[in-house]
Amino acid sequence: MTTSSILRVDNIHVIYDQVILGARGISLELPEGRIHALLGANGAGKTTTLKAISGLIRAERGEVTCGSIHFAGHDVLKSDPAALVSQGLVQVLEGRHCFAELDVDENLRVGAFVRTPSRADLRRGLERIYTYFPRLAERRRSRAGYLSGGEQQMLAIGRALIASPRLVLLDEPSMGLAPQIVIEIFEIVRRLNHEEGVSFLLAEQNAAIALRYSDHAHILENGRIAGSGPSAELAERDDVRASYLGIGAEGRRSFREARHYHSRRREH
Amino acid sequence: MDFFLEVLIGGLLAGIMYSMVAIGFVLIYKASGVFNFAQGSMVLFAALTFVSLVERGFAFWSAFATTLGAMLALAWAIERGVLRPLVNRPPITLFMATLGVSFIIEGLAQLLWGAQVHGLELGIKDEPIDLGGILLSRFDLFAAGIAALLVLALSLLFSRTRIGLSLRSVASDPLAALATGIRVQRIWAVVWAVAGFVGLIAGLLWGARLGVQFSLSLVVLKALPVLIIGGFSSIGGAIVGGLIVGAGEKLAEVYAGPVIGDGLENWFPYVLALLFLLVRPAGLFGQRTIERV
Repeated sequence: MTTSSILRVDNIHVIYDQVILGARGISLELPEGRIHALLGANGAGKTTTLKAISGLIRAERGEVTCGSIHFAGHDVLKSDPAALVSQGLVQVLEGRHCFAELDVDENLRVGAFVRTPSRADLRRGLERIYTYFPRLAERRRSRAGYLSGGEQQMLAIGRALIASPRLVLLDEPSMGLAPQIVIEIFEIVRRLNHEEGVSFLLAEQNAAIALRYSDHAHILENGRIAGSGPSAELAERDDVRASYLGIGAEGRRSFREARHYHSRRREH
Repeated sequence: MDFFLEVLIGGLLAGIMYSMVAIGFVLIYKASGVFNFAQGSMVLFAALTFVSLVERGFAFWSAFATTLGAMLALAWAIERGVLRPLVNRPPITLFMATLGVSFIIEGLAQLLWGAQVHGLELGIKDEPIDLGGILLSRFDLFAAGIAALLVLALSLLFSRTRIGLSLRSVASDPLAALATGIRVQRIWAVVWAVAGFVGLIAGLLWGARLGVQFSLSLVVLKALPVLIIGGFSSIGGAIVGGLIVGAGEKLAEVYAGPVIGDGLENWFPYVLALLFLLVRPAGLFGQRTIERV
């Protein structure tokens, strides 16, 4: 383990309800200050992997049965989610999960409580989030349930950021959003990464955008890592382009080509 | 007209007493989705402990403080010992667990303090007072005042404090609260403690009104229509539901009782509740989920 890696996942297996397999031997390492992506189709194990890392898997009757996860020297499997958040590991859930009945300001405040901030700290924290997301500042007294999808995604990210995390797990940030909004959100992720050194591990079905904004990516299939590499290289690989970017060597991908790719991966 | 007003206002004031019990349910239901059937037993346990301490020579406030301590310990024990191990189980399992707990508390109370009926004197005489030609019970007015203070205190807790905001976040989306670093189980413990406190207040008022006896735990059954009408997840709803039930049953008894028969008061609230279930199942103020389409 290199000293600079903030997250190290070692060969984890996850089961739900003691029977259903969610992840089968996933290993990955994230150097501090980087953006890594998990790509894959529905049910490939992206969300399961993120929830195993944040400890939320236990709230959904899931369990990491073997392997280990370390975040900044802490044994994740021995910590509860609240302790992990206070150590700087925050997950932004798929589907935003804003507190619909609370207004924008209150949503952000709740995110800050884990640090037990003073009133002045809390005010500074809120202002910092509102400079990153001016749109939220305009709507600070609106109930979160009435925000647009993009605003809710910003709120969910802001609520995670106000806890001053070192690593943010971002699950499907692009889901259901218009292309311009998706770019806006990913630009903010990049800014946070550059300006504040926050590391990101993001799960995305939208492989094109994830590969554009990440340094490194892992491709998940059936709960296993089917391939990894620097994002720029993956974006050029024919098999990745065929299966995840929808571009075949001769144009559009066909189902058979994708099948061929899958069977080739399995022989490795 | 004066007679009508007298019945109406008397009913409204009596309804506040139902609200006090219903609020205890709402708190726990809102924060953890558990329908705590044991709330009635908690009311009984509080009243019985208080009255037994007073009979053993405790002064009012020291008996109050000791009972409060006992209620907090009881609430903590139920949350920690029964509900926490059952977390993520289906709601019916949790409900059955609280039903069991309810009988255990009643048994324990009986074991500790015996089964006889006690009178409870709060120093407020239950005598009518004349307000502009309308006769009202002094005790009911006092109870309504206490209820108003209680609701004010709760709403300040929810809107002005960090613990209150955390509590509302857990009620809104438990998974997101967990992901945000809220210690959800600590919040549940707080909610149970507050419900224990509300149970104590309700226990003293109901005990003073009916005498402290085992049928006191049956006030839960009157809280049910209040909850169905007001909605399970709103304190304001519990108040309004209580008012509707209180006024409804008194008016029904006085005006329809002679035609339909005595005892209408006892089952009329359930008729109202059934009507609400048919027309507006979430209750007047029940959680209407905000959903973007």
